Amino acid sequence: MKKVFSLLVATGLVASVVVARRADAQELSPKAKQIVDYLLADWSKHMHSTGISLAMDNLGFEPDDVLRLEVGEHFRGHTEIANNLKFWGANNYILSSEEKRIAKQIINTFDLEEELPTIDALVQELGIPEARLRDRLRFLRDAGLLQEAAESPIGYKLIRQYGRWGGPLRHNYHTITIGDGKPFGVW
Amino acid sequence: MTGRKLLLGTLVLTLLIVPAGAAEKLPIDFEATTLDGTRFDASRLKGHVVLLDFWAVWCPPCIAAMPTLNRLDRELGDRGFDVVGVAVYSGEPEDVAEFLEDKETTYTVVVGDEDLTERFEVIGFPTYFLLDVDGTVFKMYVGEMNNMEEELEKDIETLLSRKSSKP
Repeated sequence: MKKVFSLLVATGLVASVVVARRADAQELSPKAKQIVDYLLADWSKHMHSTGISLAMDNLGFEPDDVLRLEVGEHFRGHTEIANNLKFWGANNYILSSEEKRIAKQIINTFDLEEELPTIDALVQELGIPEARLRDRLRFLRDAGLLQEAAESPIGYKLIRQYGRWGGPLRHNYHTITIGDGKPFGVW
Repeated sequence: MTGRKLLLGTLVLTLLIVPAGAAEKLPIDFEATTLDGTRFDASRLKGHVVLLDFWAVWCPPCIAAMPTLNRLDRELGDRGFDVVGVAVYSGEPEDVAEFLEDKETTYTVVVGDEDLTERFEVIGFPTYFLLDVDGTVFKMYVGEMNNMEEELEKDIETLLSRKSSKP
């Protein structure tokens, strides 16, 4: 019985090591790797701070939330690979400009009025159709800024540490295009 | 008296004796990481007038202010004044150390985490907090200041004068 137990423990340990190695060695999908390479090259230029969604546009990829989050998760786990990630945090690169607008509107309303805006108010303030808005709120939840809350007028509430989630840039976004070049973000 | 009653009595007594807010930390009671990776306990600076400078390596006004901070620290240090630069959103301590290699900062520089920026509610850079000898905030200054040297020096002098006049 003791031997069986030891064998189980040993098997468990080996399995844990294998899982850990797989996780360590887990490679990005080819498209995600392409985006990461694009951004690292872009960020090596002075003051360039392009986000993942703009990089995807520039690479000719269709909008893809899952792919965007895959890249974002990679950046969250590897902030050492670029000063932009060290300075501004990974989260600012995960949200598109549209999602940052929504996030800012929700946060500003909550900070000023101590309550969340309604869907109607967001639609009116931001000029984003309701279906689109609801879809982007879901992404803000998947990205980690919002969490579901049945009592909330938008179905979500801000996470407790929402104030620092966006890093020092706090959901700011600036996009520049020079000549006929591709647009890029700046900080 | 049963153990339960004793425990309840002790709890009630504790609530009556301990003043409200006693468990709250003073602004000076914080920890950060030194540039060589060791722990920095700011509470050891209690009794000094302290200027906390929340800065970042990507913030030009923060860097432009360094010579002024050097001068204030050098000239007023003997009277119980200290500058502590708290680098945030600037990478690891070794990144900050490398950045400062050619900056000739003579005051203490440490690296703070996001919890610290949240606790001090830092919303822009640089943000300075002038702390009195009791570890409380005397004044907060946010952003680039046109008359920084005069403003800071005047306020620091006020606190140092108060400090020296105390018995």
